[in-house]
Amino acid sequence: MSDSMDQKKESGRHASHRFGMAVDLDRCNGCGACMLACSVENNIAPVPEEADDRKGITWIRVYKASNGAAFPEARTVFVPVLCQQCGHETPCVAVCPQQAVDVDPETGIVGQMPERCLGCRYCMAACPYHARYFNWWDPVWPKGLEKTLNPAVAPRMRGVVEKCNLCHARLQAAQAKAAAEGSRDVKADDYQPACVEVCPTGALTFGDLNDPASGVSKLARDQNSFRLLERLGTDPKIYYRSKRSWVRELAEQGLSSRSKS
Amino acid sequence: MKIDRRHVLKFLGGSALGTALSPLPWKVLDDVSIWTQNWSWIPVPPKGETVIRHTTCALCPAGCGVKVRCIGTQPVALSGLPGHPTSHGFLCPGGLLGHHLPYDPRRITQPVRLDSAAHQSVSRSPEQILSDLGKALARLKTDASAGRFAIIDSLPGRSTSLAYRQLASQFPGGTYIVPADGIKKSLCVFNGVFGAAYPELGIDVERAGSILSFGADLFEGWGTPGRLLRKQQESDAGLRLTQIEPRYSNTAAMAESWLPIWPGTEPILALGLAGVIIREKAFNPGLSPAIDALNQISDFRDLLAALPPERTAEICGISAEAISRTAQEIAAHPPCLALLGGSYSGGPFGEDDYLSVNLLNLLTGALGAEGGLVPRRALPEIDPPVANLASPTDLAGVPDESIGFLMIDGTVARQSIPSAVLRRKLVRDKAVVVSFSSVATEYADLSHYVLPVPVYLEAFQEIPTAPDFPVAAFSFSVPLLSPPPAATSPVEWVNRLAGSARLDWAPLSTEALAEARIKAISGCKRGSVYSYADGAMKSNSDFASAEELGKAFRSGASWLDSAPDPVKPELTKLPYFQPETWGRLKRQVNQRIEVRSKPADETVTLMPFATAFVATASPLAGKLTRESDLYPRAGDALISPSTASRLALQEGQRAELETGKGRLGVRIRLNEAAVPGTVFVPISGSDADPRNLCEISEDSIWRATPAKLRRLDV
Amino acid sequence: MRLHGSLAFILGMLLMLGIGWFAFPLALYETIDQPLQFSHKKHTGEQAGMSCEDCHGFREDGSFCGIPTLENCENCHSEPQGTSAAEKVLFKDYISKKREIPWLVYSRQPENVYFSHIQHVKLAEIKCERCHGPHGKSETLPPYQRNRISGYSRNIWGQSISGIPSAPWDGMKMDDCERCHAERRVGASCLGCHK
Repeated sequence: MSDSMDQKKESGRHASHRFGMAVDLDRCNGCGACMLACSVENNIAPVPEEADDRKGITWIRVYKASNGAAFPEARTVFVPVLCQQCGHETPCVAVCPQQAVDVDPETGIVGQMPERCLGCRYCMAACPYHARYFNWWDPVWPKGLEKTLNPAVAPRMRGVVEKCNLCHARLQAAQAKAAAEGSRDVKADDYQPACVEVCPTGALTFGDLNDPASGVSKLARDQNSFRLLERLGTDPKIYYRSKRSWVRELAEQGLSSRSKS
Repeated sequence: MKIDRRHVLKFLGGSALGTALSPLPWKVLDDVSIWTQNWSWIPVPPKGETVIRHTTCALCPAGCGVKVRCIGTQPVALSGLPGHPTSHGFLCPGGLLGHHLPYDPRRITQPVRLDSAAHQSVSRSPEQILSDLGKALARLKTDASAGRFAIIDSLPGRSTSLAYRQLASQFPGGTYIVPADGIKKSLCVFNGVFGAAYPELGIDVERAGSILSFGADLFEGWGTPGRLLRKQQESDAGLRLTQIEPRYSNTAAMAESWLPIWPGTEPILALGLAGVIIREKAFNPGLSPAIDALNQISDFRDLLAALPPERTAEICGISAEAISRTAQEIAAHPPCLALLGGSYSGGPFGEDDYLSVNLLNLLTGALGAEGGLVPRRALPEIDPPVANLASPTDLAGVPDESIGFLMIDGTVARQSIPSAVLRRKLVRDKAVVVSFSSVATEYADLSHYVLPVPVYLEAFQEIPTAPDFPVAAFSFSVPLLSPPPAATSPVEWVNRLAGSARLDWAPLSTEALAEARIKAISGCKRGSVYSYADGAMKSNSDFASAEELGKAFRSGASWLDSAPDPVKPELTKLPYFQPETWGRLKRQVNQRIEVRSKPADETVTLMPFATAFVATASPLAGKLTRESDLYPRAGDALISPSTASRLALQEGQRAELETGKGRLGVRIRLNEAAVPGTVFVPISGSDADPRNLCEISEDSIWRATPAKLRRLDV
Repeated sequence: MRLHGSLAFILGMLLMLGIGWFAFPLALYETIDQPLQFSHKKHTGEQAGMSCEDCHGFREDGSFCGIPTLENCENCHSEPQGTSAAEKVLFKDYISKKREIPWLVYSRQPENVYFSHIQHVKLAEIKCERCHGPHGKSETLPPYQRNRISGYSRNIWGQSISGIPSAPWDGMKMDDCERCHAERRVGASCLGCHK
């Protein structure tokens, strides 16, 4: 521990974090507030009328899955899926010809740079979680709505890929606030992605997985917690949890048993 | 020396090398690539200082506290307010996008006259419109055949409501209509049971032991959503909710158990459960005398005897075992709240439905107890500006074809009354309909004129007590933006119309009415005030003056009344103890059983339903419908696969719904979690609204309607 | 023959070298005057004695004020403080009309760039002059030279057309930032400087 502290002083680096999230699937009620708060925070443009859910841009998207039973035993689970922030051999980083995406060693966040992207969409093919979205169109907001955009996040033009970056703009704001107090360390309370902030049921928990005392670390260690497509070995930082065994079993089966409606 | 081709080529070659060795091509390349990444049509968010302000959301009666992140004076993001005493940090999807409403492309910024056939605005100047309306109003006073004046107030109890009531009282037979609020209506059975000091009832969900919900959309916008969600998060046992409804809604998905009941048989289940409770003596012991009194009524005895668990199960489509289990649950975790009140889409239930379900509240002792239905004081009243204000009327109490001039205040952004229901009440071909709205869509198919009003975040508006809250509560929705110049407050429009019609009218002002309300609250000396900015709770009596209280309200604050001391309900006043009630209930039950026992043929039962929370006009709302599959889309029809196969329908196919009222094109969506034989169609504010197909009963209720569903082969 | 050919070659080369190195920079940049001839020296000198942070300061949340708003000027200039022509323009065109001064910002970066002043000034203790040059001592505001193709100020690429910085504050492109970051061995992730 003391070695890394000295290293910190020498190089002026910030402390090393691994920001992650825990999603409680028993609490998610499918309201979609997370999807809307994300769109507002990150200036995500609405897509034209003719678009469908294959061309939409939803950095976090809540899917519906069912237990496959017939009436009246049919049950639903809502699964919010965002960029899983893969920590091991991150697929999108490995395939990008432009180095338009990188993993920040200080935060563990997989950062996408739309301004560097050339739009080949190789990363979209590589991502096993379908968490990357392509701007098929330039962003168009109704007149007047461009005034309500968030200046902390740059709007993207068409032809580039974008994805969740755990509201990095809020991390930057928290870092600025810490700097104003003379500190290099972000306070846990000051940094929370928009989806976590607005979730009405408390289904989303965010924090530093490197801190064993944090809420998210405790939930990650819970016996009912799992990660999506764990067998691929991507070491994602998003943990899902459910007390219902059918939900856990569904996750292990992968994408094939996810129903459409 | 001759200059020939070779010289030219050498010259060009030298130029090329010179160009390459100069910065020109490299710099131009660099600059052009920067130019291509900075197209002028990609919006650049305006910069500025981040300022946090606060207000109360005005989009629905819940009145959640809102934290507004502004850049300079421009709101850019809304979020809930943790610590807010009623909303507890909650803000629904509609509320999250509230800051987009002022920029809705369909926004009306001038008074318009709509050509209802073409939905286009007919060009008529604002002055002409005011003059037209003034003449039409004046005619109501002189010409008896012109029909009556009526005004619909979507959010009654505000000081603005006084202006409406005053206007209505200017005309003979002038009617002030309050649309039925699902929650308020469900508690009507118990009106007055706590005496004159407590004219209202609140629902104490925080301390309820268990909840029996007959179709109440508890996790999708019921009452003040933050209360339920907080209880669910904080209590280890959750809400102990049994959700009883024909569709596996998001609320049913969150409930501890779901009873998939056949639509229309809710009162029968309630009576069946009541029977079990009485037979097993699981009722609240203090009610023994009341039970004895009930048992004297022969119709009551007959009715309950006719609905043992097996029979009830047969009629309602759920198992007898589930019924017994539910009855046990009610007894094991008192107090049990029985709630009947569906989403606003389905409209109110009938009187008899409320009677049956509320019987459970009576039997379990929830009436007047902590964790049940509690006595609630009214908001401190303002002295009415004039005497003899028109009293609130139910829509059902208005005769058909009697309204000659209808004004609609659509402040609450939900079209809660289907146009077909309203159209029936209008004098045919002669009635004039005016709505106060910020967009043309609400009631557009009915309105002849739309008068623009400021929208949420532009309007200074009262938020009275939410229907479900256990104590009186009040806050203001504070404006953070300026409205378009011609968008005036409803009170001011009323002043102008009264002036144009040359009525004997003393002008009212929104400001003066607000001041009067603040004074009334300050004067009652009760309760406490929560200030949004610093999260401080201060006793009402600690405010030195009404002005100081007013200042707190204007920067974002919420007043809560203090809880009254326990009051014993006057049970003898209740309709349950009158024999006629049970005769009527018996007839209604038999009617329902008859409808239910009709054999399943080609018909399905059409059930309109509302998607969760408030509909929002923001383009980002498409993220939930088009860009994902999370919410159903307008035009979807959810049916169970077994029904679909009976009717030879498949997922995604286009089909047609037909009832006695008309036809509607829909898109089939298979849903295993819908009761077979039903078809659920989400409502929308347009011509494609399924409620227009529903049968509307005498008391303006639209519910389960038999319909034909067939494939469209195109 | 060959001599003449070489001559043509050399002529061509010299011509394009001349155009590329001398005429091109003149044509590429468009000089625009600032709306007001603000004198930093007047404000930072002995008379007023202000420091950079008095106008270009930080807010409580750590955000940077940037170019001050009119309100900031009005703190002192609610009444004329001197007799200069610039101040007369200030009153006539801006304070009396309550109109914000449309300054042309030399260091304006593209939308996707995120620069945290407070982390550099307070934590890394870098002086303003390191990146902005001796701007605070200038009598007049230097002319704003706008690149006709990219739209950005000449200060971003650097004054010299070669792209080789003549001073530490000559140039504010990504490689200029990267150089210093590499020297101090700090923050190498992309999102650290982009948004």
